[in-house]
This record gives sequence, structure tokens and C-alpha cells, in this order.
Amino acid sequence: MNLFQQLAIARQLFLRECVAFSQSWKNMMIDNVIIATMFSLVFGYFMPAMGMPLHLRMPMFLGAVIVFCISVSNMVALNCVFDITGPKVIAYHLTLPTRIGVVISAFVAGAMVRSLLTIIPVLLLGITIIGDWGALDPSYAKIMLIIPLVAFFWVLLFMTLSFLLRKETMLGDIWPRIIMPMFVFGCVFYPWAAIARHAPQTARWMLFNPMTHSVESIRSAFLPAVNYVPFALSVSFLSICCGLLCFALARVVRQRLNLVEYGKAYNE
Amino acid sequence: MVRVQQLFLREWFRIRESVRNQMVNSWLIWPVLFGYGNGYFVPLAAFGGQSQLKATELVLGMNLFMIVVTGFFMVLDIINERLDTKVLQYHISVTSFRTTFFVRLIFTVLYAYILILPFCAVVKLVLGSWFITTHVSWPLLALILLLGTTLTITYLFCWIGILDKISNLEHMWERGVEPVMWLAGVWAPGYAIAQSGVPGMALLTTINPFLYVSEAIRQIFLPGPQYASLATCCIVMVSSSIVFTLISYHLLKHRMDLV
Repeated sequence: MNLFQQLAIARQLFLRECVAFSQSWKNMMIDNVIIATMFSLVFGYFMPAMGMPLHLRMPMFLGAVIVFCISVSNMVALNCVFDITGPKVIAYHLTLPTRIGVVISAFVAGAMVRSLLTIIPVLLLGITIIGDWGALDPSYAKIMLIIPLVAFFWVLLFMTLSFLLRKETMLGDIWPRIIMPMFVFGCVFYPWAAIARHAPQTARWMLFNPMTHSVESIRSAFLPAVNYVPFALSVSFLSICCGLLCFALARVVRQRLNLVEYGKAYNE
Repeated sequence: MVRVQQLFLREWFRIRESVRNQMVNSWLIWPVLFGYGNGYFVPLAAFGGQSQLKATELVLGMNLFMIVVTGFFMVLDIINERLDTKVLQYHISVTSFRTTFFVRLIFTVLYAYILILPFCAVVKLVLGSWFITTHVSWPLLALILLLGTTLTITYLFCWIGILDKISNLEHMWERGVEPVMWLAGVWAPGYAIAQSGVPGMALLTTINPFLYVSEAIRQIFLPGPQYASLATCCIVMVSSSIVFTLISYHLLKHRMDLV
């Protein structure tokens, strides 16, 4: 198999993902508009009415945007889970005359496109509803770097978990035991600097959480970057995590779908 | 009575393997997470270091979130049995629609109630004096949680009748459950929503029956005129539960085309 063959197969697999997404895109956007509106109202209007300072509106909303990225990644992971335990279309894709890495890369690329096409409209809608344009100081270079990187990280994480964990765990326990702790200790609904001021020890531990770097780097890209975790640190941390996850994903896919050596897929 | 007993036993059989897992999640993990998240970090960041009152207000809204999420996952099984495996139809054929419907409803309400009951107690253990419980009446809280659980489950039962495809489940959550929840005081209480200045929000929240669940819980912990009175909340919860029960009963019966 030569490079052109592999690229052609990768292109077809990627197009397949895009076609599947295009069939559900409208419904998904309606749902996202509703949830983005709720986030904007809660953080932009209701919480300030409780006494929250106005300058925290945009950081809190920008942190909440990560929920959409995770939601898309979760959906992709669940599709993998149902496929592995059901029709096993992925097993067919692995018989195509190409490397396993090409197949997985096409899926990851398709999932990233879904994430990006979800996050960007939600961001714009939420900022419009809150209407605090003066608080923004976007760095377009940072935005173009960090949003794909964050989407890439979460897609990789969820896909790795989908091949690593059992179906029941992915459907039930993953949220209270893995994802929600990352949320709570990941500065999603509060800026890291506020915790660093009041609880510096805890804030230091939060820096080991990739969620912290995901949301803080998004905040840093859209807002004046004086009070957030340094952008370079977040990018480096997330890049290292992505590298480790690529390695882990390749390994767990081989273990999970190696029908001869492990037979796990048939034991589901 | 024998058929009722058998249906209850069957429900227990269906959930028994996941009970321990559910209890660890609901009795330990979720209260600890929400206690730290909404009860400590968010109020610390949003309102500063002396914000026990705001912290208590915020974390109490998570009671409603827990009730709704717990109820939703329980109702998922029933939706699956109605639309996919058709076990619900089988049960109706060997008993009666009324028996099956009320057994499912009562079991789901009781199971969800047991799972969310210790939430505030565990949050108190986590947050200590940061979570204000000076005025709380725990038996009254237990009663309000029962009413809130009943309201939530009966509302979700309406959606069992509305849904026609499993693939629409996600839309049910995003369009029918989550907006209702967010506008019901899960984060900001009713007075903050009304004072937010967003046109129509005051009316929308007043007619949202779920608001009265969070208002009642906040009234128990932080009594005062800023929240709806307990009597009003209880009346709204009871009457809404009755209405949703009637709607879900007739909707499901009609959808399942029972003779």
C-alpha cells in the first residue's frame, strides 16, 4: 500500500464521518442554541443579579463552553462503544488496506470537525447574548491554535476511554468518577486566579488537571490575558497530554480489537 | 395484589445489580463534587471569602439538579422497555395498563428519592460551617424532597409518552428537561432570575413548577421573604404532580394504542 492509497482511504473515511454529521447537524445546532442561551442567561444575567461582579460574566461563560466540546466527544465515544459491542463496523474498517493509525486518525479528524462546528457558533451566540463585547480582547492567533488543540485533546481522551472501559462504565460511571471531578477541580465555572488568591495549595494541584488548562487557555485567548494560567504553559501541557493519548489510543485500539490475540470484542 | 407484588419484585430484580454503584455515586461522589464545586469554589470566586450565604444558596440548587438527573437515568430504562425491547407492552398484556403504570411510577419515585435523600447531609459533612444549616428542619426537607422527586418523575413520565424514537432521547433532554431545570433555580434562585432584567424571565420562572422545588429547599435552609413560601411551593408541587400524572397516564395509554 502506497501513500496515495492510504490518503484516499483516509479521505473516504473522513467524508463518511462528515456525511453522518451533516445528517444530524441541524438538530444538534437547535439543541446547542438552547443550551448556549441557558448558559448565557445564567452567567450573564442571573448570577450578576445575585451579586457576582460583572467582569466575571465572560470568563464563566467561556469556561462553560467546554461543556459542548465534551458533549460532542462523549457522543463520539458512545458511538464507538455501541459499534464495538454491536455491529463492529470499525472491525471492517480495520480490514481496509491501510494502517490502523490512518483509520483512527480519520475518525478523530471527523470528531474534531464536529467539535469545532459546535463550539464556534455557540461561542458567538453566547457572547452576543451577554453583549459584553468590551470585555473581549481576542488574540486570533491564540484562538486558532487553542480551540483545535482543546477539541483534539477531548476527542482523544474520550476515544481512548471508549476503547479502554466497559460499556456499562462508559454509560454510567464515567461522568461521576472521571469527568465531573475534572469539571469541579478544573476551573470550568470559576477562574483559576480566584482560587489561587484564596486557596493557593489547591490551585497548584488544579494545574495538573487538563481541564484547567483547556478553559484557562480559552479564556486567555478571548480576554485580556493578565489573570489566567500562562497560555504557553497550557498549550505545552495539552500538547504533551495529546501526545500521550495518541500513544495510549493506538495501544488500546489494538488490544480491544485484536480478535485473535485478545478476543475481547467477542466477549462483550 | 400478587401481580403488583410481582411487578415490584421485577423492578427490584432489574436494578439490584446497579444499586451499589448508584448509591456510591449518589450518596458519596455527587454530593462531594457539588459540595466543593458549587458550595466552595464557585462562591469563593464569584462572591469572595465571606460568602457562606451565597455558597449555601448555590449548593442547594444542586438538589434539584440531582433529582432531575437521577430521575432521567431511571426513566431511560422505561423508555428503552417501551420503544426497544417492548417489555412494557408485555407487562401490560399480562396485568393491566393501570397496574403497570402506577407500579413503575411508584417504584421510580421511591428509588430516586432514596438516592437523593442524603445529598444535603453529605454536603454538610464536606463543607462544615461553610454550609448554613442553623434553621433547617430535616424531616421537612425530607418531605419537600419527596414532593420534588414526585413532580420530576411525573414530568419525565410525560416524556415517556411523547417520545416515539430512541434516537430522540438526546433532544428530550436538551429541549424538554434541561431548559426547564436551568430556569428553575438550579444556579441562581428565583429572586435573582426575576431581578435579572431579562424580558419575560420573571413570568417564565413563576409558571415553571420546578422553581418551587428549589425555592422550598432554600426556604427551609435560609428562611426569608426572598423565596416563595413553603405552603405555596407544596401546593404547586402537589397539584403539578397530579396534573403530570394524569397527562402521562392518558398520553401513554393513547400512544400505546391500548384497547
